Amino acid sequence: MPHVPKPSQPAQPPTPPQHTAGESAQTVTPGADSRASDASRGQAVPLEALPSEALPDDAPQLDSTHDSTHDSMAAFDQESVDTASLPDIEHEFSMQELFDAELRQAIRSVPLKGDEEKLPRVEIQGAEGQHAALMRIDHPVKLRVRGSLGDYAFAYNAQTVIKVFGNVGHGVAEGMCSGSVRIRGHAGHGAGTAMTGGTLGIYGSAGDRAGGAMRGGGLFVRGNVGDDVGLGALAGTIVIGGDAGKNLGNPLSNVAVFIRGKAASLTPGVTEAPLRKKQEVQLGLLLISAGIRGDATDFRRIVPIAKLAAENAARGEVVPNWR
Amino acid sequence: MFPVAKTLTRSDGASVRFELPLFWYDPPWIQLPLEVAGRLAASVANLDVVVSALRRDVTADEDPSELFAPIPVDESAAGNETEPQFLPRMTPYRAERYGFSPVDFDQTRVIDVRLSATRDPSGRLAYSPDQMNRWENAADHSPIGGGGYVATGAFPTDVVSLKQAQTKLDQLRLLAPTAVVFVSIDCYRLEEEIAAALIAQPDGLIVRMNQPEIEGLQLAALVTRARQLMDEHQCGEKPLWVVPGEVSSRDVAKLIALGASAVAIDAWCTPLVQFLLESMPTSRYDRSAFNQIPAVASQYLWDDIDRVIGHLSTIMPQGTTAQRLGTYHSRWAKACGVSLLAP
Repeated sequence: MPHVPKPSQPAQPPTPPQHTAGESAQTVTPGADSRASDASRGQAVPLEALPSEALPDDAPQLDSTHDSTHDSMAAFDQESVDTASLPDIEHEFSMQELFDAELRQAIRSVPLKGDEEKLPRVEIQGAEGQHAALMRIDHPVKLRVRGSLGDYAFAYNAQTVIKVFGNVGHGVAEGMCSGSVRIRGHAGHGAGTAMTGGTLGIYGSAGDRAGGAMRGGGLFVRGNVGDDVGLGALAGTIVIGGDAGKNLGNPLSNVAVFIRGKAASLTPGVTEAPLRKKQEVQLGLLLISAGIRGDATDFRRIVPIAKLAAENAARGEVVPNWR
Repeated sequence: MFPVAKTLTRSDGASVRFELPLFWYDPPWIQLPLEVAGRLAASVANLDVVVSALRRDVTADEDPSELFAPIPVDESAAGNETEPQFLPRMTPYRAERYGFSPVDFDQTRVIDVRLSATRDPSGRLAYSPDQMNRWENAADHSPIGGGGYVATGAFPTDVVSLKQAQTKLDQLRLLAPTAVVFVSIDCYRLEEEIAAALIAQPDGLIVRMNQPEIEGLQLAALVTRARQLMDEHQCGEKPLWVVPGEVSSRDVAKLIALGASAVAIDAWCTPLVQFLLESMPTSRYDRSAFNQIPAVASQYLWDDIDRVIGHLSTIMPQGTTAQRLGTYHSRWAKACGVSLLAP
């Protein structure tokens, strides 16, 4: 088994996309509420919205009092304020003291409680931008990672419930099968690439090609996303709390794309449509499960034109337009 | 004697052994029923040919697969505690990773990172509906992409540059600790493509030269040039695997003498696949043809494989290209004082 050096090179802090939907934006949502006027709409979530200990030394730091008032962050922070204040941390490992293979083995050997509802809690310290960290863990535990990670963190994981108090690099949760990954900070490009299940929640912003080649699962980004989101995706759900860059959506897919802000442009073959009641309920539940508070009615969906036409054709029989 | 078996070393020092310099690069698994595909893959791999396949190419998720299972141990040797052995397999890691599952990393010997799109047999840069349904287990009422062709990815969505691709390859080395990580490229614009691929520091290169317009002499020139370029980039010791079109066993030996480290034998396997397509019974209860697949594979391939081994045994391992291509035995030439042939 190859060894990964313990003090791996720090990753560059991910650069959040700075899209401001310009004049070419497809639609503008009237009546933006207070949530929409916060950092998640119109411009990128400021890097200041991140915990100071989670950022590389040269990354902009966060005023922690500012974000604690935000409901979404509050939901994320409910059970993760401070390691010392939590009595139920059962295992603690340091990425500075263990090789990556040793760390994964240690996590896999954490005994389960037998109660599916109550997963063992594991605290991971010493995250300093390591690449390819904590991949292919298939063990039902709750991991909390303090610090930022580099590229390809949590690839091909299953069952594990993860929270990261920091940023992540490119390709986070690539090929994830099940479980969940929640990122308190920002993510680089290609977040959730080829994931087949589970939930990836990013509470900051994400870069280009988020959800690329997705085949299932849910990707939730509270802030903005970059260009080509959903490129090559086949199935799953993508929820964007802020704005999107160019070429949003994929005309040949069953991906459900929901957006609260504006998209700089849509991929040819897709269009925007309002949510139906059933979808509002579904999205509301998804938002709750992802720990993102928000009203589903604020969102619109990006749907292939052909699929929308098929939906309307089928719907016409149930709800005739003469009514 | 020129070594037929080789041990390749990864950039992190781990080593991977290959018994033959032959591999089946792009098998048409989708043309065969799952069960037949799985049997054929294992049968060819049993001949020590490295076979390229995803698990979902050759078996359903819940079914066992000969290609992915440990090789059964003789009962006489069952008392010895030995590491389980697996058939030689390579894993295509396509840009969009359709059909890929985490088990594809297990026990594979090569991760083939395909940085560019490849055409399907119909010439499209896309995957057929049948292919997508096999990979993604789509329900009948909800086919992938609405039941049409799905475009292939031109570049991985989670790689931002060729320099950063080095991190991706390091990631794959961690995920597949038993495998060397290769990057595969096309042979057009060879200078630019090889220079770009080597930036990511793969353990080796696979160059696709199987386009129909490439003839024998062009193929030889391309292999020579590819090896020269790798030398120029201080990667001369890295393996160069070549995917040619129609080749004979003599051609394979020549390509290796010219600088290739392994050669794809897809052209030899095409008649085998055709035979299976024509001879497979339609009844699922008729197992005779199915049980004969290993014998048929051996019958179709072994003579050529053995001829390659024979030709390679005559190549001077440390000689120049001209010496390696020579049709003489260097020791005899030297003993007889034929200095022109044995300098």
